[in-house]
Amino acid sequence: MNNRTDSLSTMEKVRKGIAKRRSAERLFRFYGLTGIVLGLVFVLILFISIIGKGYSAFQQTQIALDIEFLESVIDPDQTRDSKVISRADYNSLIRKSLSKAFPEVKGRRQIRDLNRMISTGAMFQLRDRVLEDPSVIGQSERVWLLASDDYDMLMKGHIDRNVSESERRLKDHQVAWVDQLFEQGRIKKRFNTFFFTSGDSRAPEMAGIRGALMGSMYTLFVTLVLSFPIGAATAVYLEEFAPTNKWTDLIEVNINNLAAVPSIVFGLLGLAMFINFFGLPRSAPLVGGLVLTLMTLPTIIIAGRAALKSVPPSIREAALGMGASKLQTVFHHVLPLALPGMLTGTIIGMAQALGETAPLLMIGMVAFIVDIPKGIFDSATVLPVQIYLWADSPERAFVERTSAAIMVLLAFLISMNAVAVFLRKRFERRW
Amino acid sequence: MNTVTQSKPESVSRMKTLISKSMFVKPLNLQGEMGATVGSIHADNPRITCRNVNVFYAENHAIQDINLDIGTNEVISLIGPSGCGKSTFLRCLNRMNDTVEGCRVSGEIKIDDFDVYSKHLDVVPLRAQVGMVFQKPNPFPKSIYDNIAYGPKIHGLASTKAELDQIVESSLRKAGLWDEVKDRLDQPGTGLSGGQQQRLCIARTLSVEPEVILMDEPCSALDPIATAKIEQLIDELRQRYTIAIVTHSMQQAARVSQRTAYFHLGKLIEVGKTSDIFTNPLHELTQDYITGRFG
Amino acid sequence: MKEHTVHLFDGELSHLHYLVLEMAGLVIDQLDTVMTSLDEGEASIAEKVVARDREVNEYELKIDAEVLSILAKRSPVANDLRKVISISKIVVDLERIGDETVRIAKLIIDMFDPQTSDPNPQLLRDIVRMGTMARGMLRKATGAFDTGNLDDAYELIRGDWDCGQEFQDGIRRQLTFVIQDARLIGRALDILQIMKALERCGNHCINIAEFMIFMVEGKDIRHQH
Repeated sequence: MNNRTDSLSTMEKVRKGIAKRRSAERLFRFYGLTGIVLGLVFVLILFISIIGKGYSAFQQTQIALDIEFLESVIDPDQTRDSKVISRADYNSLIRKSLSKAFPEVKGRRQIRDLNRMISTGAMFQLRDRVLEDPSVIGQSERVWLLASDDYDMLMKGHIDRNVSESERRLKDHQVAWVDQLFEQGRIKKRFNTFFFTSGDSRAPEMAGIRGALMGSMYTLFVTLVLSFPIGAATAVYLEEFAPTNKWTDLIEVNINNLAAVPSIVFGLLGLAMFINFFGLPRSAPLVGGLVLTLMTLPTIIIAGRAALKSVPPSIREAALGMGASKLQTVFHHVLPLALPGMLTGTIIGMAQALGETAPLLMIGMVAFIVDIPKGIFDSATVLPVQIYLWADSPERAFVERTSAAIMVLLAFLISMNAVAVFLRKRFERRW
Repeated sequence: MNTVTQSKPESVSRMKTLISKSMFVKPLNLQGEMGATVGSIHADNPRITCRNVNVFYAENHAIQDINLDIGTNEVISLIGPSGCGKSTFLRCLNRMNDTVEGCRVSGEIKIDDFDVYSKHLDVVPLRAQVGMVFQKPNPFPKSIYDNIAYGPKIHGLASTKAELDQIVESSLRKAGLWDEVKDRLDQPGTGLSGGQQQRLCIARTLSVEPEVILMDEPCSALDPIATAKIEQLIDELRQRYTIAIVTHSMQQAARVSQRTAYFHLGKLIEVGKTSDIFTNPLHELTQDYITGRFG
Repeated sequence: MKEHTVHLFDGELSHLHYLVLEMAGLVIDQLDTVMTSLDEGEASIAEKVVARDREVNEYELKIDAEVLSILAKRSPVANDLRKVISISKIVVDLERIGDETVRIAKLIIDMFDPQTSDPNPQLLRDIVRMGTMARGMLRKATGAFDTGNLDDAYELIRGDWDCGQEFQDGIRRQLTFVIQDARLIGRALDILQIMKALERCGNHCINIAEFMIFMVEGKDIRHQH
């Protein structure tokens, strides 16, 4: 077969090379595996640290007080008018109840410390209780009220009792009150509904995520409603109808470039155009949505075009060959097949928009807003901005809230991706 | 020639010196390199007449001066090497070339005396009248029923569900697929075997009652049995329709068609009865191609 | 002529071509030998012809097998198809010529039986003339098949070599011999049979020429002249 007696035969050469090839392959696989493991470890660390810091925010320390709903304080004229009721001085009821519970406490300073044990938001709890059921007026009832943030931290173990009194935020007598309440079973950690039902607040124990969550939802709603139809229509037009010439080439290049523009630039554009030129309200989800629409459009268009391109031309030919018009071909056959891909692209774009902070800073969505927005014209903030704001706050209790807010944001993202996967599976058709 | 090594009588070697050794039969009546089309371009009862058809793709002159008639109830096969323009010509007949950018067609193509490339003509009814079956079976990713019902729906051929059912059944019957799929009309058309898919595509084409059916290599992706079924179907359909088929299989062209047209480098070299083309082609290029002496 | 893209097909076709040439050469040799035996009045030479007929038949079988295999494997069309079909027909004619040669050889063996007296060379002159004509026609037909020379083929068909006319003349001449001497009647019948065989050889040659023309031109001119 071969007469090259001096040189090695082909098989020998091949055998000599095998070891080297195998080791190269093993090395490559090792690199890949290392990369994946490293990535997983980082993700794990991230989750552990966030969940570890944040889980406690879902519980809140509350103190049970026997409140006498004195008619003389709440509604002296017995009008039962909600305006009167809501204007009443509930703090005095709380103060009375506290002094009854701790009769030994004397002195202006001590009493002030005692009163600070209950959150400033507790008065709203009482108000809501009375508004809900005015028959409680004149009665006495045990009510669980929010503890203020320092006591909450102590209960959650974030304040170390072993540190010397001077370096502690709570003094020895305050710790003693907590212990006394604890023995009586009147201080407890309960599930924190406030976190999900209230807006932002300066007081950490009162601060909730709902405002930001609703802001994010309204903003994303505006973004989705605008960017999906516009993006899908653009993709369909460019891919199926537009002639290929210099202009469409130029548009294509520009769309691809827009996808790479820093997002803050879109914020500046939104500020200049929507707020200064069109005079739309600042901090409104409408403007945020408009800006995020500009930002996500290129992503959606590019994904949409890729999805349309992946529809086999034989389907188009089949439809055209049956005598379908161009429009019928696209809407009856091409678009249904491309839709899962387009939806995936859209949801990726939306997820990107959900996590975006920079452009929203430019249009004023970074403001401190206590009210929960009721529509797209109300001032609002969004989850990532809320996280940024809380991370900036000095109080110890905001640390856990920041982590909790991140958890909410991640849950939001994961559920959006789950929806994307579901839609893909639901609408995906093979050809 | 070393296959001839058997012992032979002396006389044979003498014969060989006696007789000159030119091995192959010289074709004497073959005509010039690339002239006008050889053979008769006319059909007895023409349904499609093409005169001086030229197609340009941008600068590329894809097909040049084609004159050809296609008769009623006739199967004509278009053969030729790849890139010879046979598919391009086929796609002119129902203006599928319109979808190709930069494609320009000149000349005259008439189907039953209306001009296919007239400015006033709408391609939608044209394509209902001139159906097309493609190389790769391409059923829509929908149910078998919807595949067939699509054409009648968009053209408004059926006003009631019963009528539509009727069209679906008769189309599937004509395509010889009814008995195989009648119990699973709601299942996806893409779940059928390759040959069934292609027959489904033919049934889909039949659903809008075309007059002409164009087939672009309809069996190239099928196994011999599925191919035989399609060929049988083509022969049955010939009673009602005019069929033009592009094929790379010479045997298939010989089997299914009554007339054969040979294309070469964008020109129509020869047209004639299939039996003549495959026994006694007039043009040397045709002969070289069909006997496997190409290139 | 261009070669086939599949070179093996060319090989098979030329193999077939050479087999036909070999067979034709063999038949030509048979005819030559039988005529020599007549010339020399040697029955033993004619016996060789009878013996060699087996070879001719073997060639026929071999060529038919080859034709079948090419049809099955290559599905030839156009000129290839015509060539293969023509060859399968030509072989039949060649084999018939072989059979006629054997018939002549057997008659010669009878004629030159040592028991009887040799025939009068006067009587044999017609055979020799027809034999020369048949040999010429067979050579021409074989040559035309090999080279594809249509002129030779048309010459055969046009009847420049008219075996039939020659046969009619021969009958008339033999009859005059018989009328002169009735004892010659047995001989004359033998000789008439030989002449009839040679006439058939000539007709087979014309058939070969017709297939030749079909092979080259695709025209079927049988039964038209």
